[in-house]
Amino acid sequence: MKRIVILGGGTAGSMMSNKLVKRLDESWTVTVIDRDDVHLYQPGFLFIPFGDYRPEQVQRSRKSLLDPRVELRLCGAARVEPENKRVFLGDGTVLDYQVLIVATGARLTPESTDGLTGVGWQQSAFDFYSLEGSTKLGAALERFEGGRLVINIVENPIKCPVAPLEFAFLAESWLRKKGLREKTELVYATPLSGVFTKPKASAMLGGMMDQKGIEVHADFACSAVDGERKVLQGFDGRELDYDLLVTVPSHAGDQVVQSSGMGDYAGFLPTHKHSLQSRGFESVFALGDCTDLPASKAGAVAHFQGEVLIENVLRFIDELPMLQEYDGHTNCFIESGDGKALLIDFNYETEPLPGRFPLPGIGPFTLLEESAVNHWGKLGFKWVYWNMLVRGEELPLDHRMLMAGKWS
Amino acid sequence: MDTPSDAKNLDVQRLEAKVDQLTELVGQLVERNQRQSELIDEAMPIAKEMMDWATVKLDGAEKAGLFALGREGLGVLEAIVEAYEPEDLRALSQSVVTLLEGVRSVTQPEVMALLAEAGEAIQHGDELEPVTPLEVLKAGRDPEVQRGLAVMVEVLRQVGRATKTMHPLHAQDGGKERRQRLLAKRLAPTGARSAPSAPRVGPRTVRAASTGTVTSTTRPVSTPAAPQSWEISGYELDAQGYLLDSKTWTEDYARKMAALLGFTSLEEAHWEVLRYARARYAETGNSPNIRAITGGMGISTKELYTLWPIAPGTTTARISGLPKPVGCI
Repeated sequence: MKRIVILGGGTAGSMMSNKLVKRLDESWTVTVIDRDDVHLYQPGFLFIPFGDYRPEQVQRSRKSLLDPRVELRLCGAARVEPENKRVFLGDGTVLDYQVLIVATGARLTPESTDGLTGVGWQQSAFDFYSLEGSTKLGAALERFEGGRLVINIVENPIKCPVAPLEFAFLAESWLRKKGLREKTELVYATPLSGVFTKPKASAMLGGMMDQKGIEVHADFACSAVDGERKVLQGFDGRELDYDLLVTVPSHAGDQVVQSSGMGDYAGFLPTHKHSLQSRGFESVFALGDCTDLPASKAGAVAHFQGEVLIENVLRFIDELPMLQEYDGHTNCFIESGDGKALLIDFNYETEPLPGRFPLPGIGPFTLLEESAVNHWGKLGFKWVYWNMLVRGEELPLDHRMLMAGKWS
Repeated sequence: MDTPSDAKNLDVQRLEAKVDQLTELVGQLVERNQRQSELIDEAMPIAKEMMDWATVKLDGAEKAGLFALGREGLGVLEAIVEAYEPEDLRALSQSVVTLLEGVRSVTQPEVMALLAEAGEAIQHGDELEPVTPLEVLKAGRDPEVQRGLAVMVEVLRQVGRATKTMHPLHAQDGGKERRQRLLAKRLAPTGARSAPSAPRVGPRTVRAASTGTVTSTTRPVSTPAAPQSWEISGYELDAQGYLLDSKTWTEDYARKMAALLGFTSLEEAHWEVLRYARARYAETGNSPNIRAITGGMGISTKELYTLWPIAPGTTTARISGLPKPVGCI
């Protein structure tokens, strides 16, 4: 029997398995391996602290999202032997494969920052990148009466690089609605040299933090958190006081990638930029947050990668050369508060540009510019996610980034 | 005697009939469901094709400047709505009435006839003899020409009066300037509309770790002591002080850039970081950030900060001639 094993049943893994069973004949088995049956809609975590989404709206059973032809095993994977093309499962089973697709995502490692998970963790310091974190942060915001709210990205890479910025904007707007804005200092500390680092985005959005009265600390590399004194410390000696810390913890690749010796220093899988084949092993492919690619770690990226990857997996089976088609295409909505959002569309080579998307001149979405339509798009995306994207349906969008509609 | 079993039979028959009905119903539902998913299967490629088509067509239209024109038009309309007040609108309606009156008087039969005749004269203009100043004087004696002159004078008088009444309206409150300003703003090229201000770095609550005292300096602690201008002779730098083409990098460049940033010498440990950063860039096409350097080289972040005490990521990129490490926006 011929088998494709997919490690991970999240956005990327579910989508790939659903696509594959439609394209392969019955001689193939597509097996998805994960640890539990809870598929999380991660873009929804952002809205939970402000009470806009409830936890039950952002989770579904993994099984319910998979084509019945997909075999789902919920025992986790212990390790992979890529040389021998086999996977050792958590329950002791060994699966031989013809093709392995790594879709294990990225995990949070707050414990890797000194003191972050010590005193005050989930009391005065929270993350919103996990369902538990965002739910508890919601409760903390309910009790919040003002003070210093510090948002910090510990180190890059992180999933959805704009999410901390969105959190800052949404918090600013939420505090105003609650009448707490006057009593709150909003602080944004980033390891990058600024909030906006690409020329067009800085030119168009550079003033946003100032307009919203958000204090920015650039080049801030967090060395430790002192929960006792409620102080965020930087490697360069800077210290930032907080009453409420919203942290984006350090990320790492999945344990199984690391314990199989396939990952880089942070456990991300070395992957060919354009073909999505792994750099170490021909029969191993990767997509989504688990790769070491210089693309954003985001669902939209996994979607665009999926369109290239499905062709390359089928070509690999047919012993054809790989398509070098993935161009780093990413797009994402950026919530900017007060019922508005921005949209950005870019790839490896092209920075986010202003314009209209997807139809030139018409949109309806506005690129690099605030609009209510973008915000509705972001909200409407949840349906698209559950009903189309994860199910591997084709979306009427090109997987390549198009210059049409962009004003350069 | 047979009744109970008959009844049972009847029940079973009824049940069977029910099951049949249900089966039928389920079949229909499945079929409908299938139809729906088939519809999606059919519709999506079509939708995709339509999008591709519309994308190309509309891009052409956009390139031709049609949308920019539309946007400017909207902007002008918006400016009019914003700039005019109720009094302006009342004045406007008044002038519309006057205008209509003018149109009506112009369309009276006799005026139309006059215009037609004048038009005739203009049409046959090439047949007329050129008029010398002397002939003008001669023509002035013609009663019809005299009447025409009187009409012209009256028209000129009306125009003069009209400008007199219109002038104070504009001069009242600098409304004209305001309108012009607004219109100019609307019509300005998009890029020039808002000059972005640099993100504020609030030093108020930044403390030096060693002393624990609040510093009141306004210098952003984050950026390396930036020199007045980014210039290294023999090399091309961008406005932010990064080498334009990483291939033109030399060790000499590294020494000069380090000196510009205030480093008196580069030790072997510095060179190791620089070489690693360049190798990593060659492999991935990305400027490595702090984590990629420390993780990849197996040194601690603290060690990296001992080498470059301020912003070691950007400093490494600068000295090793790589582009600025960037986020996605």
